Amino acid sequence: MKLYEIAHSRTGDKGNISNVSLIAYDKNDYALLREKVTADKVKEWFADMVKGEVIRYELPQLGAMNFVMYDALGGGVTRTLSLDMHGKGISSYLLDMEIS
Amino acid sequence: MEIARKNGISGLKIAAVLGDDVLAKLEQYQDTEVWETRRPLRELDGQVVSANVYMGSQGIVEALRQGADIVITGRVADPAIFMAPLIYEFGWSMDDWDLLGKGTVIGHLLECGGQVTGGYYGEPGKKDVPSPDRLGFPIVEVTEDGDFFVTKVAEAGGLVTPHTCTEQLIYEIHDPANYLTPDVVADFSKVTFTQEEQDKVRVAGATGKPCPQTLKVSVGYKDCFIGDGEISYGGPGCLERARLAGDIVLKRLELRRIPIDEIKVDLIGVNSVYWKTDKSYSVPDEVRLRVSARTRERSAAARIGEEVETLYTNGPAGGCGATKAVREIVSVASLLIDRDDVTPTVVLKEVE
Repeated sequence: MKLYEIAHSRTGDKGNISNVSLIAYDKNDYALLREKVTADKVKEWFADMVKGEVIRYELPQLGAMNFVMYDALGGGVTRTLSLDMHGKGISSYLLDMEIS
Repeated sequence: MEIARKNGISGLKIAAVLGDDVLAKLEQYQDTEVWETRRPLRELDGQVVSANVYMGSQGIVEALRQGADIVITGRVADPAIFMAPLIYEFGWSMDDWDLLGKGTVIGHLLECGGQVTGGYYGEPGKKDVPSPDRLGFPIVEVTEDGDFFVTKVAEAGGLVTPHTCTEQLIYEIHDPANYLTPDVVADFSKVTFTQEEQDKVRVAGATGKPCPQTLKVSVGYKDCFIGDGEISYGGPGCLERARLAGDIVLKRLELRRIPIDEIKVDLIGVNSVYWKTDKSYSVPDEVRLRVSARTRERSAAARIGEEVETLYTNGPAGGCGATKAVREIVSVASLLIDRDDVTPTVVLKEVE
């Protein structure tokens, strides 16, 4: 199953740091997300893009998590060579992740 | 003021909040570490052209106290433009951290306009947004105690649900328990959203802690040039032709010894947004090659697009729609300065 089936997401940026939320449509799926989508798993998923550490923050009452990814945006919005300067497409890519 | 006069409006009070320009104060922070480079400010490679500090609500509140109808402000933290009217209207104390924490959640949810009412949200079939072409902007109704709900005008498009609010709450934040702003360290970690009616969400649980002693400065400096070139390929074999075209450009730039700091070759429609290199893709009907490179000199940046354009006559078959551009890049270096070095000032003028 892809995360896309049970969760939604939005990405934000500050400098060269990206943050991406993962929000369960149904809060009953939050425990599954929490178990499967660890900071390590996310770092591995974005390995080509994220050069720094990934920290996960939990908001269980909202069925949501926030992943903060350092050194993630090719130098940040002003100097990156990426077409997606803000890394705003990262949310859709996270939802492409398979979990079992 | 000119616009007001032209429209026959008199008595209008317009305030400007100054004090965010700290360029003249940078001298004393030359040894301060820049976040992006992890080196002292004095080692920044490029001419500094600006320095603006994120101020809090204080200057806007003062402008309102002086009777301003319109406030134009220098750089402030985004939530401040919503929190300042609350502080002014309700007489909130600047050290009532829990109230300021609630005000920050209000400001954070509102600061991107439609992003809390169904903007930047739609996912056809899963997260459908009603009438997104007439997206309604958010309205917050807040009491003196900082209790509030988010809604929108019923006739407008969009929607307000715990899910739209959750996406926006987490947008552009790091640790939800410590959201640093000039006014307060807000704690979003216990925030709850409850759907009370259609498009009406009650928000509770925000608190705050004392504001930081430092403020963030964005220093603008002349960093580099970026040259871009793009060209499209369509039909059978388009992916192979686009890849070959990219290789040709890289080899040509090497052959001509163009000095380049960093270069990126993307195939738009294949891998331009995700940076993913090890995924196998289905073959697209068309693909657009994009070559982007950072250089020290404008002339070197121009070579990138020129080599892509040259693919018309010298590259693989069927290249079309070539474009090129050169951009001078002013980058941002971030550092912290002491808040005691920042004093917002208000200039108020009345339209006669």
